[in-house]
Amino acid sequence: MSDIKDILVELGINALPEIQNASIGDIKSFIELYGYPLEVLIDDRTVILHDKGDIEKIKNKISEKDVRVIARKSFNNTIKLNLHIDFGSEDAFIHIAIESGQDKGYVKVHPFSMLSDFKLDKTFVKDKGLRKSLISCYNAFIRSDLLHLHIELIKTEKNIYFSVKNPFNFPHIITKSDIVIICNNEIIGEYINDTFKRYGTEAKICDINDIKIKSLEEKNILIVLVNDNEKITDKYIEGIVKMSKPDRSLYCIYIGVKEKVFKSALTGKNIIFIDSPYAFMRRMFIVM
Amino acid sequence: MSNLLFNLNKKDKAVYIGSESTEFNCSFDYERFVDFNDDIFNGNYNIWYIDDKMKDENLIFDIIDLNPKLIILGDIKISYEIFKELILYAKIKDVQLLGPYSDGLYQHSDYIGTINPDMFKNNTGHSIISSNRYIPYMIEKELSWYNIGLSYCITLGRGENLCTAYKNSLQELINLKSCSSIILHLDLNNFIDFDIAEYIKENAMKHIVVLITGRNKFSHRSYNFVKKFRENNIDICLDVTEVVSLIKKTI
Repeated sequence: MSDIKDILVELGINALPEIQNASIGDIKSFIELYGYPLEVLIDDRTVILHDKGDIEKIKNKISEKDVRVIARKSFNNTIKLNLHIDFGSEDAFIHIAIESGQDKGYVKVHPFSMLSDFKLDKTFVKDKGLRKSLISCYNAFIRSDLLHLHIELIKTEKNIYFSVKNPFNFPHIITKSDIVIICNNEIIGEYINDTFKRYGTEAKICDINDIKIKSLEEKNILIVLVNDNEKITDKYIEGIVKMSKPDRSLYCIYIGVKEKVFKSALTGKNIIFIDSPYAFMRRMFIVM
Repeated sequence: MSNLLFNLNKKDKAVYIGSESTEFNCSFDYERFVDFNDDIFNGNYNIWYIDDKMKDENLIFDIIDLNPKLIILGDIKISYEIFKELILYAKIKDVQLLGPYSDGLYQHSDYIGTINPDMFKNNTGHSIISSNRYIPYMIEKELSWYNIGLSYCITLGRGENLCTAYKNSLQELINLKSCSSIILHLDLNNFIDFDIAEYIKENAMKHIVVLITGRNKFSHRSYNFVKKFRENNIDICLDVTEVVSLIKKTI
């Protein structure tokens, strides 16, 4: 795996940190999507990259001819989503045109990066919920190997959902506000949320010492604990056991003392231990 | 060049001032004082833990008069007026201040403050300056996948008024002989030297990787800092995993 990453870094993909954490499938689709002169062979757990020839060709690979509409959808006859990708050959940036009612605008994004609220001009997509949905849609496209996205807007009283379907009609919901990060340190919670925000979504942050179990129902939960104090390990275990339910998995990143004790105490409690926020995102957001 | 942060060795006097509830770790001989105690003036110990029940902020000036080499201000509140005077007085007396809201520092097996040294398992000469102790633990964990880790950690504390600014602590690590690379975690919630990018460009004799957090709260400020670092060709990352891949470049 590290060899692949090294090759990708050689190709200049270090500008896209998320690809360095991507699954093998993500890397494969990324290489194919951007036409890198590499052949990817996947056999169970083995990945082989073949150099098809001159790597330098990549520089001329993206041209202005590569203009394509990737998604088109009207919502309630008022807002027209028209994501339009244009590979600029000179500056190697993507220009995304978005039409919203009478307003038109575009945003410039590095071809290897995700769209974020910060990058999107707030004046031409004024509705925050829709703006986030557009971002989710774009990011889902970038992270998938689909040429066309079939998208659908679902509005409920509380949330706006963006339903993205793949060609096999297997729906995945990209949600706006039903993810909760439970952590023991605010800065760590914000750091994890920063990572989520780069993918166009945002989680609510809760302190593990101040959680209300009822408010967590129907939520996707990521527990992030960085614990350097043996004395409070048992307290954290107790808190997680209270939250756990047989019909819902909780995701947990644990960095701390008594790791083996912590993990074994939670065996059979439907807790999935992961190493990074990306592992959680892959399970929650990605259209595959 | 020294091998010790702030040239601090076991013979030196250091003081940690923090709340009673915070668990205190220290590899030096120390005694815990629930209240500000006369014993401190008798010099019985090299490291002093002082509870924040100190009713008078001015007592910190008395502590400076005892000439410790380092005073770490833990989770205590200091008014801006006292802060300004404190900085000045400490400079005159040649006493190094860290904090407020610092978790202390760690160097190889020596540590002072609330940092748990057991969290650092792979001492391979890399170092970090951070606003709190949790980010370094996360980075240590990520680095450990590659059998590398942190040997030095300075936690600067939080807030608009830091006794030791990012620039000073950076210089401290640049001067350390056994420090191979530096991770500078800039938290936008803190005061950050405006010219830090130029300073790094001019003074960095070691590989420096900058990690920025707090970007969503201060997006414009974040943009300006990121732009400056990029203009000065400084490795910058917005994510712990990126830090690891950049640090690996130095190995």
